[in-house]
Order: sequence, then C-alpha cells, then structure tokens
Amino acid sequence: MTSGQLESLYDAHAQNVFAFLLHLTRCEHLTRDLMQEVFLRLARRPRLLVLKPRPYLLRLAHHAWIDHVRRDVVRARTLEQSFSSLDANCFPPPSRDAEQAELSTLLINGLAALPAEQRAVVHLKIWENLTFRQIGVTLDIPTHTAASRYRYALDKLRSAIRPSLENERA
Amino acid sequence: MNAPEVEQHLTMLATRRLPESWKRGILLASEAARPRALFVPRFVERAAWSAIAAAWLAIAALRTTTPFIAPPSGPPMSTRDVAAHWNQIRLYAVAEFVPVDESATPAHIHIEQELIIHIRPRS
Repeated sequence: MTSGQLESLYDAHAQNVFAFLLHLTRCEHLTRDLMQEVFLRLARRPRLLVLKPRPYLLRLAHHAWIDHVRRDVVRARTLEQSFSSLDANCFPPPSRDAEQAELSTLLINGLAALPAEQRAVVHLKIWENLTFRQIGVTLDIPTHTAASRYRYALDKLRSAIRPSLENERA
Repeated sequence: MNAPEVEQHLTMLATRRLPESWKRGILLASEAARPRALFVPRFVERAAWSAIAAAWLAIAALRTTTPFIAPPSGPPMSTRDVAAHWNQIRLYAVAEFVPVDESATPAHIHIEQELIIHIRPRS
C-alpha cells in the first residue's frame, strides 16, 4: 500500500473511526492512541484490507479497544467511571434551541450512562447505519445479541428522558 | 417517547469532528511502520531455509570425512626430536593413514602437507 492510498483511506474513513472510538473510550488522548494503532495495523498488513474498508476499519478499531481494555483493565475502569456524567468529549455543544438542547443533553447523559458494549451497538446502528448482522460481524457477537443490546440501550435512553418529558407535560 | 422517536433524536446529535492536526502524525507513524522489503511468499522462504540447511549438513558431512591425524601419545617430542626422526614420522603417518594400494594418491600428499604444516619444525 502506497502512502497515497493510506492517506485516501484516512480521508475517507478516519472521521468514522474517530467517532466510534471516541464513543467507546470517551477520552480524546486514548482515542488518538487507538486510531494510531488502527492505521499502524493497516499499514503493516495491507493485504488484510477487504473490498469494503469501513466495516473492516471499525472492526480493527474495536479490536484495538478490546486489546487496550485487556491490557489496562484498571485504567479503563477509571475512565469509564470518570466519564459517566455528561459526555462533553463525544459531542459538540447542543443547539441554542432550549427544548432541543435539553433533550440532547438528556440523551447524551443517557448514552454516557450506557455500558460500553451497548454504546458500541448504538453508535454502529445510529451513526453508521449498519444492520444488526453487520454489527455482529464488526463486534464479534451474534446478531441477536447485537439486537438485544440495542433494544436494552434504547429502553435505558427512553427511561433517561422520560422524567423531563413528564415535567414538560405537567 | 417511543423507540423510533428516540432513534430520530439520536440521529440529530452530531458527533464531534476529527481534529485536523492528528492526520499528519498518524500518517507519518503509519508510513514508518509500512513494510518496505520485497514480499517473499512463505513457501519460497521455507525452500530457501531448507537449501541452507541441506548445504550446511553437506559441508558438515564432508568435513568429518577428511583425514584426521590423532596427536601422538606419550610425552611431546621436542623440535630436535622431530627433526631427527622426520623421515620415520613421515613414513609412519603415510603408512598408517593411506591405504597401501593408493600410496601415490592425493591422500598421500595431503598427509605429508598436514605433517609439514603441523609437526615439522621450521628450519
């Protein structure tokens, strides 16, 4: 693989890999390290690149994250706890529309409270538009597990925003 | 709010933009890690290693078949003794290590060369 090919892959897919990793790690420094790892792996073994690079890169990113968690369980747990409130790292500031902004904040908080496995599924479903089968392949889990994680995640998000909506109606 | 509505609101949340400054660093590091050597298929590599191993074994086998002159038993001979008994030493060695019917073959010459190099005192 030439440096030009590597650069065009970066231009085409780095934003998606970045967003996925940021949702998993919720730490910008760690995301940068893992992105570096993903592109290093790609550069070392370009023959592994398949016809559709994006699912493959997301899969590589997920593997890099799992490797990191296995390597440094304590640090990963600390990070998970430290970002359990409003996840300002992953999203830009909400819009100026007060109602929309409040809902966005609630959803972001709800996402932050989800376990990493569910966050990964939600990210791939909502922002990558993958099917549950593709999500299963990307995360190395059965299709029905991906679907059930997504369902649990949505239930939790609905619970997270329900009090606010009830207050509004009252 | 039902699940599709939650999904719709989620899709409206924009994810953060990738910092532009990362690109150069990541690509430079990846470039450095890129394998530059010519790709050699595994079977070619195995064949090359097998050839090297076979050559080494052949050389080792040849080396062990070269004549070996054992050191003499008893007290070491002085330079003077060797000089005095040179003809006997030479005749003994040739008779001992060269078969009778090949007395004028290269093996004979080889024995004499070994004796001259290793035993005969310099004049």
